[in-house]
Amino acid sequence: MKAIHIIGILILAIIIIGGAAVLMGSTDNANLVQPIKVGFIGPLTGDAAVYGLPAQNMVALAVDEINAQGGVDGRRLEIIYEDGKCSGANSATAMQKLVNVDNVEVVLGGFCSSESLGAEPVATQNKVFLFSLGSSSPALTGKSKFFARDYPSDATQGSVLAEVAYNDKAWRKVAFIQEQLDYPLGVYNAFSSRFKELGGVVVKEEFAPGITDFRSILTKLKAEDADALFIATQTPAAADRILKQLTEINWKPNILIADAISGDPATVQANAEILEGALAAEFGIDENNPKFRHMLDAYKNEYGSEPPYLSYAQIEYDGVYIIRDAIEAVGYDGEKVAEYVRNLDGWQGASGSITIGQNGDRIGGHLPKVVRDGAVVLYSG
Amino acid sequence: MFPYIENLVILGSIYSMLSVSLNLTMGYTGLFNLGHAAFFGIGAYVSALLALTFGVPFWVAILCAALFAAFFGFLLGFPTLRLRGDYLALGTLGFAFIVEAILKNWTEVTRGPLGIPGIPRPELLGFSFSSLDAYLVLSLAFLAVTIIVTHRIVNSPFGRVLKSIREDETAAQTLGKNTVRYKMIALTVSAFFAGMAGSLYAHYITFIDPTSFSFPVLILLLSAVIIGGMSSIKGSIVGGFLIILLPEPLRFIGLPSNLVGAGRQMIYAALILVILLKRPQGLFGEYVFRRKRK
Amino acid sequence: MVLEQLILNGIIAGGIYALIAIGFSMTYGLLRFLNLAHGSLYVVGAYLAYLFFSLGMPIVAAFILAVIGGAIVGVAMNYSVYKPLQRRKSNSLIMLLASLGIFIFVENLIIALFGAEVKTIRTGPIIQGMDFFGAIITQTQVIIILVAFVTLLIVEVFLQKTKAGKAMRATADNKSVAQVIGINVERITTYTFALASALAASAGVLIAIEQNLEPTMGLNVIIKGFTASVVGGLGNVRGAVAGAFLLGLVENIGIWFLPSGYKDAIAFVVLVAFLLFRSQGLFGRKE
Repeated sequence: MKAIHIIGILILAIIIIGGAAVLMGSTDNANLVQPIKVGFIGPLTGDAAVYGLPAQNMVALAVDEINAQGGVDGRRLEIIYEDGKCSGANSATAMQKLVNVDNVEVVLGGFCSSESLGAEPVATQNKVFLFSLGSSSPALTGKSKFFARDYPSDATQGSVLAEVAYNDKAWRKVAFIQEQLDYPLGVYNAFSSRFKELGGVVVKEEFAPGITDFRSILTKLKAEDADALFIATQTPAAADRILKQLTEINWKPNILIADAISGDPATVQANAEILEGALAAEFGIDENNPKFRHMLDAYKNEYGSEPPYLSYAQIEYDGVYIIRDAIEAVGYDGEKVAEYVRNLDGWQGASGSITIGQNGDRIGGHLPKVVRDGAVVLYSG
Repeated sequence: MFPYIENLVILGSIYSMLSVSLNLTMGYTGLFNLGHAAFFGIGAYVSALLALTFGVPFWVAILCAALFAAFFGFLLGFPTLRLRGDYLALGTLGFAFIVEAILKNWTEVTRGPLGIPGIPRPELLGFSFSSLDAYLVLSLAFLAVTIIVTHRIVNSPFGRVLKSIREDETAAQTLGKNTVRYKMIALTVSAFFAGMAGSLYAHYITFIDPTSFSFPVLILLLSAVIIGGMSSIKGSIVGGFLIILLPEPLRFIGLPSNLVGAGRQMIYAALILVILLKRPQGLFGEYVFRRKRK
Repeated sequence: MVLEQLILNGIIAGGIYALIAIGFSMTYGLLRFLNLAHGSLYVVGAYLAYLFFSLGMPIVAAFILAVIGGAIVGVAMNYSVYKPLQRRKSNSLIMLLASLGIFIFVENLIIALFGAEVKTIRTGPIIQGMDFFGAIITQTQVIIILVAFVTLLIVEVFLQKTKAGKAMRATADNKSVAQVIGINVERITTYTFALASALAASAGVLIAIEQNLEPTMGLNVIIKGFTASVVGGLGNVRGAVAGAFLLGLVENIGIWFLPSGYKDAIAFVVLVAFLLFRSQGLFGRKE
């Protein structure tokens, strides 16, 4: 019976250590000058970790800066990071833990829209403010008065591109390759509904995440003889594969890309040739914005390289500072912070001027962009 | 603190329902059913869609979800129960992946990867089960039903035949038992409770998407049954709770942040291997793992 | 034009699946269980090549080292987990679950060591493909097909002509008889794992070069692997190869008629179809 003793002890040990850590954590409340604990939910593992880990880094950077400047109202700002795993169920549990064990009033997250959708009911029920720094699904618009995001909904991305495609470029048929995940599907829905409204036709082929061989799918789409190809993937890596395979099968269509792709300079540059003239609609970055530049330099100093997804990076950086301002203005209370943030008007950040609308979405949406010489620039017709 | 624990107990009871029902086929009848997560998913989606599209009250929805899942168990049984061991495993696994592909692709009905948000909490005569306490009672109640029914089945003459099928199917057949019929019933009942668990899950988290029911979930369920012990209802209950509770304290152990997620999974997988290597009957199960003589 | 392309794509995919399926069938034939951890060797091979390539080694050297490394890891897996389980006469479900445990462990170990993002091995600029009977094929793909075919040929010769190969086949066929005629079953098991793992690892390196690597790449490929094996007949090496090419072709031609989102599901439908109607596969014997 020795083995069961070992296993039993192992399990018991884990539970005891964990329980002890929890208990030690909760006695912190006795302290007077206690830090302000804010939660964070993002994909720290799995495929979406390519977004979640840099997000974590960026948040940590902003927090360090704030603490170096004296913290929030003289108190240290501390973030408790939870892994949402880009899953609604995991995020709901993570939210439960943050709210009920760590007693946070504000949570930065989710990143994936499924994370936000999963965590929001818990936030609402417990009057905790959930502030997403990257979820773009239209399903989150106006979801709850305890939810807001400083990132715009994909609804604008799709419609802007549809209008440029139909009106400016006179394209009538667009082939669409879409990864089977919520963000790409959201972009597809937004684009195709507007494009069809205008009178165009969209032909779509989907692919499951993790597929690396797109040749047959692309061959099928090529035979559709469309005016352009829209590529919507969750990560730039998948798009990179698609673009390379486009070159390999000698297909050089007019291209439209989702902003997850255009937002990654490395991918755009690596595929500069085939992307020449490609259209995108971005929630742009302004390299001339001093706060933006400062953010870039600080990140480079701390982590040795530029943040991978600049349009998200600036949002994440701003998000922490918005929370700082909110807490300093109204105190650390979920409901009050929620109201403050949802009424944000013209707040200046690394991502420009931020105004949050009645429905909790950032106002200002996406602008049409075009790829020239491996760089994404404003589209001017 | 307490609500956090309540949340875990609710999830634990849902997963216990799944592992108890899985044990009925795997542990007691010896069927390598790797498709269990699919019944979970079917139950969840059916319940969610009925509630949202047709405004069906929870109590009817959960029954329909369970019946629907059971029906699929029945359908799956037809072709696969003729297969032996490993082939049955692959067949049921294939079924699970096909179901997942349908959930992802049939966007008109399932909304595909966007998932289904806003699933309503149950209501009974004006009382809404929106609080954790209420839902806790609800899920424990359904767990109790699952346990009682499974216990009855397993300790009845019917259950003895199931075990004999597990031990030596050919012998059972020569004794005149229509083994396929028995296996079919076991699979259908097992699917019924998995569907029920799915509905409970959907109305609790209020948001479901295809990833909530995919391959990693299967691994969790198999672990629950293995750790708890095959052909032990008690073991499956413990197993179900354990797989929910186990990763939680690991949250608190301070691993460097970029290792947190992967580190947790690794510890988890290592635990499974240790159990399989050192004590394969799990905590409470019978040692049913001897290779049969051909 | 289109059909040729789809067929070619199918053949390329089939080559990769074949490298996986052979090893999978081999270990099944020998130990009679579904070794899901076989997919891990594919990932390990890819990442080892990536590691060596980043350290500055030429790609061919990295390839060879990665394959050897994969073989070593495979043998280690057998030694540390499967052998003890076999010794206590565990049934195949336990072995299957153990292989799952190994699979998850390795996948997460790679995430911990290398990170979760997609990595690439770039051996040169992206070049356009060449025309080939109406389809387009790139240089790297030609290499893949060549390497796959040559490897399959070598394996075939090895199994049929060499003493060790024949011993492996004999042991897979009937372990007790093999033991009686003096074959060192334990050593043969080690050889089998080494060979199977080397093949899987080589497939991983090829895909890493041609496409990308990410830690989760193993699941998808092992599913194709065991489907191909079932189609060919579990335990039958030649069958596995045939099954692999068949699967590759059906997948790529199939999406012409179906929405592409179902591409992976095609493999499952093929799997289930065979299980239902011909579970011994194309070339297996009914047990």
